[in-house]
Amino acid sequence: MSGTLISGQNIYKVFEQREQKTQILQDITVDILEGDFTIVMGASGAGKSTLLYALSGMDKITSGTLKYKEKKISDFSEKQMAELRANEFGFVFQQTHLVSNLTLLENVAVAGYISKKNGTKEVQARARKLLDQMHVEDAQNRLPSQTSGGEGQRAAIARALINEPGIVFADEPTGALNKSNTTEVLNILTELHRNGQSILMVTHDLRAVTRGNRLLYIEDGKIINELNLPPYHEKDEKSRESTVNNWLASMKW
Amino acid sequence: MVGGGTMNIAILLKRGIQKHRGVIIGLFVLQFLISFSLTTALTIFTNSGSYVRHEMERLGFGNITAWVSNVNGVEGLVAEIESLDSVQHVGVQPLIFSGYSIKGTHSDDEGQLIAYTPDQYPYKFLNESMRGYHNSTSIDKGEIYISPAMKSVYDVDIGDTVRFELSRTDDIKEFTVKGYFEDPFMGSSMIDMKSFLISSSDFEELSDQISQISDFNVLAREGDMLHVFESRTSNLSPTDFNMQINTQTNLGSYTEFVYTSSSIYGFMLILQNIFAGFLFAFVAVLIIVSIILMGHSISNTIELEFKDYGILKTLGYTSKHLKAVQILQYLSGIISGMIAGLIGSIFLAGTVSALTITSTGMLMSTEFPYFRCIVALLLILVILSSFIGIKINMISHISPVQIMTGEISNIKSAIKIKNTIQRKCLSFSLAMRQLLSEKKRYFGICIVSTLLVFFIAVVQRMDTWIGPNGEGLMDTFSVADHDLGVQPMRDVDMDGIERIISSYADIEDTYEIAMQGVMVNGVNYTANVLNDSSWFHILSGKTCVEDNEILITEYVAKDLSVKIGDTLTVAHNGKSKDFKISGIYQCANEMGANIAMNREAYSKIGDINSYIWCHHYILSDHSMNDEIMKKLQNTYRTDIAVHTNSWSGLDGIVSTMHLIIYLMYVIVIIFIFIVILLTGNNLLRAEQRDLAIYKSIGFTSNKIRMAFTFRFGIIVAIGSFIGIVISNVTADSIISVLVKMFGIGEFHVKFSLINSIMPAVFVTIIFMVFAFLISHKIKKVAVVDLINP
Repeated sequence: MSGTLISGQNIYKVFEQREQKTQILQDITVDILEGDFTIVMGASGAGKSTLLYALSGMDKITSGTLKYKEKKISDFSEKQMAELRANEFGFVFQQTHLVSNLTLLENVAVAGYISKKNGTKEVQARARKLLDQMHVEDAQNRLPSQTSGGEGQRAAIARALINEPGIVFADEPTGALNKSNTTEVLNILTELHRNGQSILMVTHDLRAVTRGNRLLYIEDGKIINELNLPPYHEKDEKSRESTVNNWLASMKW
Repeated sequence: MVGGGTMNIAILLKRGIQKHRGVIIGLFVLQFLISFSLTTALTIFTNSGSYVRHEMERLGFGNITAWVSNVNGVEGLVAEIESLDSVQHVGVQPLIFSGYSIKGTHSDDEGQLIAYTPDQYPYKFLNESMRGYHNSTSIDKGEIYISPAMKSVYDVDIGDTVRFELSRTDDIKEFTVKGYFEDPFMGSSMIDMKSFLISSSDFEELSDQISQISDFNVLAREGDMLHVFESRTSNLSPTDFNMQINTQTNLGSYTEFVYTSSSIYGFMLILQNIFAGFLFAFVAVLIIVSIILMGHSISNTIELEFKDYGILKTLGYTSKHLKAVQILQYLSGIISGMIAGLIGSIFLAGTVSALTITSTGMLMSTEFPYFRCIVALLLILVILSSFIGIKINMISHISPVQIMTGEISNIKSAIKIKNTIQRKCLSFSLAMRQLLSEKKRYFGICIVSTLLVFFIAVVQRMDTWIGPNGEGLMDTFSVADHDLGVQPMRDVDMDGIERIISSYADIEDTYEIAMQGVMVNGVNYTANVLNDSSWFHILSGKTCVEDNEILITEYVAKDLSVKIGDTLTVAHNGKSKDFKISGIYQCANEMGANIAMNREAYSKIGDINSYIWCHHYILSDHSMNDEIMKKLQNTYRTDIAVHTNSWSGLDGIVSTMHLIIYLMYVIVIIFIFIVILLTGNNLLRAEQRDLAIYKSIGFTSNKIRMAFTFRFGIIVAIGSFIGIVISNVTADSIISVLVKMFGIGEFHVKFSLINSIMPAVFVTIIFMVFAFLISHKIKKVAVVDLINP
């Protein structure tokens, strides 16, 4: 049995704007397990991205407890959270979000420099290797604006992996990509999972959903259902799609 | 089609002002500074000049004023002068020349006692606070009125005593200071000689007393001020008028010194002109910087909000509407700042006048020159508005279709010069990369820092040249360098005097100097005579070595239209001789109206054996000058006249300079804050996304703030360096042009690495401090902003 990576207890997230309060997450208790490719899905506005950013510490929760590897991170200072992001967490966003005036290689390397895990030469070598693995070796010295969406997103994944994070958080990573790029990115994430990388991903793309081995369905700020699947194999895609569709239909999605 | 056009523009304008209030506030403060400085400078400049002229006319000063003494029957001399066609009439003011002391301090120069005759010369008396006048029309026995400038020079108050030494024996006359009066000639602290008003009865008594003192013992003497008015039909220049009177009458035989009305204005207005000049220069710098900052702000704003403009255009707003909103936004800050500055200046004009009276000697009128100020401000408004109009023209090129189809995007071209991102100095590397990739954004800041450093460096150079106690300035105004001057008034033991001096400090060098009034081609100048002509500060040519050579200043060269190699006729006490101009030398005394000769040359026209020689000493320890002077004065009393290398007007200039420097640094700090406010906020807005990205990969707010601060540090350091180079290369030449007005032929400051670097270090540090402070907004940037921008 996998260990618990992230543990969320009685998590509430309330947005306040000019005295108007909106409860986005309601009393969520969830464990994200090590080695899992966890997918969070739900209708638009259900709170799936909010849950992702709450569990990753990107967004402060209103109440509840959040732990990472048994450490209570919901009380962490800005400096402690920054260290966590540098050393343990990797992020992939829907919009690539690479620093506009750094090349793809520099975007990856800078993320490695800020962590104290590896020496400078190791960071540089690893950055090149990751970009090679992501098939963007030809574009590594170009600025993000000089590359395609797919190349940028693959570089963003490389950046997320530079410090060998405990977990990769991905928010709709294929949302802005065309079909072939989507497939490429999903294949990369699947391969990472196969190699032991824990991933927590938010998506409403059915093609992406089937890559996960644990699906969480969120509605009105609550996790209302969960589905466990075996690890993804291409030959099982059709049956996985069917299983997922039935599961979603049962929740009237 | 957008309906209710004005209403909709009003909504956009209101929202725009709310959104860009930081920029508008910054513009308000900038324009306030510009308007306040400009209108204050115009008020000082306009009112000072016109007031001095008005008072001089009212008090009967003519085109030329001659101070004469030892005249047997001044009426005869007056009649002789009035017989000239070019002379309308001559006014006569009797006076008594006398040395004096206040609170134990002896004056360097003689004072002149004048009988107060309000029917003929209605001087104005100031009230006790010196912020207004009182209507007294009489002076009682034993009372004396002095110039307000005496307060800054001698710290003399109402009720203090002024002692006049009429003779070498105990003929002392004391007066009690009753109040202050405005003297439109000698009132300024720039002028050593001072006038004193006493009652007519006291004046007569003094006159009688002096006449009874033996020639051997008498120190005070009677004389007159002759106010010579040029006839309306005469078109002679002041120099030619002076020349004609000297050559066609006996005036030259009795003249102690002569000044034209223009040279008197010059003396009286030096401090005001320096102050106003500084403000005008400052305003020019501010206007340039305003334009740079506005350009930066407008470009950034349009770049960030181009999508909004496109959307508004799809709703029916035209480019005209949108440009009108932009112009009105900026003008709201500009115009309100201008008005506030104008109002501030009106209210503070009285305060400025009151603050400066102890330096200027006159209560400057607070009448506001509305027309000049409004015209000047309107001109600046036109310049700024035109600039805004040109800059916002890019709004016309925003097409809604491009926005909708996403054609316009933030595509960056390849960075031509790239630095390596180093782990060891990551914040610095990232800062450098930001600068290299967004050069345009930072160009304005570079220019601003160049200007600020240049401005500070120029003022600093002037301060260095003046010296902490004005010694540098004294060297410029003095004939030759010295620490102490001792002039025997009779036979004295010079060896004994030098022993006293040596007991305090070693005498490193010495020479003798005499300053005599002469006529050069019929024009009155002072001749500075040295026994060793190598002491003169030569600007061009060579010093006057032969007995037929003289030196002249650049002022005299211009006044008489002569050059090196020409011949001038120098006359003194009835003798005259031709001398060749061997060189141009530096001496700003009398605003440059002086010549130089060696002892042998002077012996051709004057008596070198009389008590005209002052012994000047260079000492090993300058700090003992005042003590030595006091010791000599106490020991030898009226047998010698002692002075240090200083003059009463110096304190006024040094104080003014220090005030200018303090003000300048304060204003530069405020200025840098406004620049950072305007540019820093824009940059943070533009880089919101990148800041969130850095946070998402583990950068702390402080690390990002350091990178942000370093950017400013780097670009300001570059701009400052350019400012240092430009100031070192050009500042002396620029200042030389300005100081020529005061008779100073050359301005040069020795290069000092520390003084050169200091302004750059100061500006860079202040920029970085404010950049770091304003970057606190980075703390509020949340990573979730990447998802919810």
